[in-house]
Amino acid sequence: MHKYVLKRLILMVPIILGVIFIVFTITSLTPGDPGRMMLGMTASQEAVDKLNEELGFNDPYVVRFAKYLGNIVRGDFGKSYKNNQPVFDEIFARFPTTLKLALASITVTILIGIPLGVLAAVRQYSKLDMISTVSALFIAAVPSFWLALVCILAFSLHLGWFPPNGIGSIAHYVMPTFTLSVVYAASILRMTRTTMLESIRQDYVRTARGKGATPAQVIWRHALKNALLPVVTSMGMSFGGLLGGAVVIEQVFGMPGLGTLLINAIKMKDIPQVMAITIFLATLFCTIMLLVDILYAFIDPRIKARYTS
Amino acid sequence: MTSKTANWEFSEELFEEYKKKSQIAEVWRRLKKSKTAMLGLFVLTTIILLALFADLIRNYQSMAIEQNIMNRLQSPNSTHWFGTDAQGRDLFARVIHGARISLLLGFSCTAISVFVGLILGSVAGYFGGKIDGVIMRILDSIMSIPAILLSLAIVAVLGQSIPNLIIAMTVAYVPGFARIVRASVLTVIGNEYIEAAKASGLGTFRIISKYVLPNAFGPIIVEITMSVASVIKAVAGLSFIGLGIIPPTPEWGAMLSESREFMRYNPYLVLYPGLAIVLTSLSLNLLGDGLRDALDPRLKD
Repeated sequence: MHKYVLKRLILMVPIILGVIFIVFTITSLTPGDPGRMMLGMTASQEAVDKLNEELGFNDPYVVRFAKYLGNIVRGDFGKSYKNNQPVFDEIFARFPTTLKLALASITVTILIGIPLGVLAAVRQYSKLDMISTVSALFIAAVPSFWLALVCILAFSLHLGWFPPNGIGSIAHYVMPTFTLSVVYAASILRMTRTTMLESIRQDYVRTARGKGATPAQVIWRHALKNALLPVVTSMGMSFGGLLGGAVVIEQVFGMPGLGTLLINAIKMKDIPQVMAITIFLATLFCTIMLLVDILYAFIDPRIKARYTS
Repeated sequence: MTSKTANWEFSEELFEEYKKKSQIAEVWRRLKKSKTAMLGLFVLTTIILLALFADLIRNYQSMAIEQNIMNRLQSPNSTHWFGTDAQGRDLFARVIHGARISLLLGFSCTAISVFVGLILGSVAGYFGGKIDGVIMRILDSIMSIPAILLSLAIVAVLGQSIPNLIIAMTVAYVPGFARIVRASVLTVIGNEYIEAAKASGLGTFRIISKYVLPNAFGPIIVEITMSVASVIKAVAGLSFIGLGIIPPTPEWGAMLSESREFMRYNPYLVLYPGLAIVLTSLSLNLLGDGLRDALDPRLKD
């Protein structure tokens, strides 16, 4: 098992390097003038040129990339153009909000998607199946920010049940979590239904039934366990989408998370901040996928067996 | 002798063409059986027609762009079917002209992504080895950045404009297509007919385009429909947070963002642009689902 985890960890390194390379390459295309961004419009041209030279913005691309990478290894992602503070200060201040939103959303996604998917498969062509499949299809087409607007309109402005923006209490998280998770819940539902439909027709399910297991045992222990593998991967992928989706949803509900930080940084052309947030979220996503792969090995005895011998 | 060869080649081409036609006819016959796919196709066609003839239905300049404060915030009525917005512009005109932009962006980004994906995927799959390794690692890295973040970063750097938006979307969508193509290439690469084509001295480009890529056709068609829907939603999302299409250009996401402050007393302002996004992407998803079943040889009756 250790060997497997180690192998996956090592495989993560080139991916993260690749992410840094891509983000760096994209941002080095900026036509903007970093010295000008920092000193403002009133500074003299000489001062701007001097700062650009000092900070190495006139170096060739490869040299700059090597320097950036070197700094990252030492934990230095640069300073924000806006307030001249290390970019990660702000990221750590904002991250808890985004993390809470993402964790709540993935939990709701799983709690809605998997049980409904299983029930839809077990009672194929029943009313429950029809309703959940059709609504899943419909919800998959709804953009989350529009759903958020409709929720604000209905539940905040008209019914007054939930606050339309801010993060003061749990009530503040209800609508953002709902709007963010419902789309992914729909896709998990569809996926669980498909894999369950395959799984309940397998021989081992017939065997389980034959040896006298109760229907509930057969479905939740024997069939679901085998149907879950692709769903787990899909959940990992959803988490990446959730992190991206949170950027927009935070904006709609005025939550001071990483998403709002990123959008403000983009609007102010605060490039080091944009780079750091993007690399941070991508690394987080890679780590989640790594955890998913390890989880996979625990669920799937075939992978475990290959590495324990 | 020469005339005989020419004759033989001619008939082979005819046969190829016949085969291609019958395949498409077969897929169409199976697609027609799915009611949901036909519904999707019907809705999509209606939206495309509305977008194509938008200029004839409602004038762009006078109805969708020019402000007319006298008419502001009218509820839907017989002259303004979807009502008017805070600047007094006809919402119906803006929604159908918005369809134009969304569909154009959806299809063009997807087309470019497919093209680049075809090249990268087939090169990676066909040559394998180091080339494959390098291409796939880069694509993996791109895929580990959530799509919307990547697009945001690109738009942030290049500046806000429609061509830059297309670049931003394309970079995010290429890896998916490249992966599909590579997978299809890998499934056929070991077959004897590829060996035979190589032995008969055909060029690499010809082998890939004539013998390898047609196998990727099915999955790519399905992915295209899904990807158009996804690009449309992503562009709307970017415009909504103010980093996509810039007002007063009528784009659905930008329209939703503009109407936010007026939605309490004029809910139709957020209703219609939103429904436009939902209907477009729903119809594409329905069509994609239907195509997936129609193209799946295992489901052949």
